[in-house]
Amino acid sequence: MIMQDATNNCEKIKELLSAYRDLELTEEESAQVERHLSSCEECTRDASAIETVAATLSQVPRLSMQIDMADRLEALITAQANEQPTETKVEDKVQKEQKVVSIKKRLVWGSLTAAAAAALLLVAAQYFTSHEEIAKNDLSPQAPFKEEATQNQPLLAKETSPSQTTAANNNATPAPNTVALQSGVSDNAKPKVQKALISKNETIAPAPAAVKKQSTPTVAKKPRVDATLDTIDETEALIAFTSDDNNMFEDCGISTDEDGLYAIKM
Amino acid sequence: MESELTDEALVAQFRETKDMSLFKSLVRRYQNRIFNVSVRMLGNVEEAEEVVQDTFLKMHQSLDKFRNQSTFAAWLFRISYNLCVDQARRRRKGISIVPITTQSSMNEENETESPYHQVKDDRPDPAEKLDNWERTKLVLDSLDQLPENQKSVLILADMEGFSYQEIAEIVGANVGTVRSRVHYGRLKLKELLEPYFASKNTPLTSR
Repeated sequence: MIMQDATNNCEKIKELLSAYRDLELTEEESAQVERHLSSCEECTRDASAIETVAATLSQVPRLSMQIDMADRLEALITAQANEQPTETKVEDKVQKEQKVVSIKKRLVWGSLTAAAAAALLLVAAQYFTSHEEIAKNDLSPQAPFKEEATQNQPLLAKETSPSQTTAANNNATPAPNTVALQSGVSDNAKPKVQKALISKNETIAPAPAAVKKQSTPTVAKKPRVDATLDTIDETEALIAFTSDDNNMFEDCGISTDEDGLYAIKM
Repeated sequence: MESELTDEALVAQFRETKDMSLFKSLVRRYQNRIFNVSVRMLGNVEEAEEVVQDTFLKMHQSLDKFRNQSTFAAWLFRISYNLCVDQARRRRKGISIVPITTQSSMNEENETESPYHQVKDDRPDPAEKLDNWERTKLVLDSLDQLPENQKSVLILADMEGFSYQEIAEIVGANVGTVRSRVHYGRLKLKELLEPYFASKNTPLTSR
């Protein structure tokens, strides 16, 4: 009975030997271990072995750095502190430049679309004002305009200069139908043109309404180079609309040939 | 003057003044200890040097988060311990940043002209040095055979002298777990070392 108690006690004490060595036991636990060790050779040997292992580890030579990390770290941190604001500025600048390029691209596409839409309106207006006149003229009155439109398209496609776009815009003056439509070659009045096209698509004979809208003073609203996002959204909507509906010209009885010339199905 | 201040006082002053000389004092207090632990944990001098640098950069970034809930040393070593664990994990996945040129610790100690470190060994007797060299190599090789969690706590407890409470904070375990890991790590190490000392007819005793 006494031997069994001692064995059980040994198991418990052995679990505590490392913590005893490291002074990590409570006073009560420590006293219990000491009492046991004073009467148990086996646990005393174990305690000695643990002490030896711990001491051996503590005697492993210590490594130290020859370089002083403090100076290097100070340099790194100072450099980081100086770089951060600069990096932010550069990032901002890059983002702004990308934004400007993006806006320019959108304006170019918007201009192209507006030019196409204006050409459509011109032809449509002529169609509705006088069938006979158009037939007699054999499309010759449109020739200068068409030429302008075809010239403008490659120009605008390459165009990245805001000043050029603005210069084109300055020609826009709402006036008699023909003038207004010609000025529409520039990227003026895109929202209005868009609405006109949409309504044209919905009804068979919408052109007069479109011409009416075109001739109102509001048509002269000009998107600027530093266009707001709202303007850009309208432009995008216009692009999406026109690109998704390539048959619109045929619906209205109008088509283009390979040279971009407009023909009206009579 | 700065050397007389406690870690916590240095931290408080640095927070207030942002004086880099205070920061550098903290670095100089701990860089070698962190380096030593990192080399022992990773077995690689270059990786350990990276850990030292990253530890102090991280310390600088997050010093505001130190709330005196533990000792500054434990808080700092927790950063370096986590970096060592991350580095070991990356190495296992084969994405180690630093080329693995695993040097045995004893090789490091033999290379007294190593640009990275020097070994503090004041014993002049070459025979004694050699004996110590063999002994240390054996101990470190045996230590490497332990499970990682036992090895870590033994390095922190027996080489760095941290308390169980501090080790618990460093490795993110409770004190009871640390006590158990220390004890069973030592028992395992004793088993590994006994044959060598028996064959050398040298009792495994501390000096």
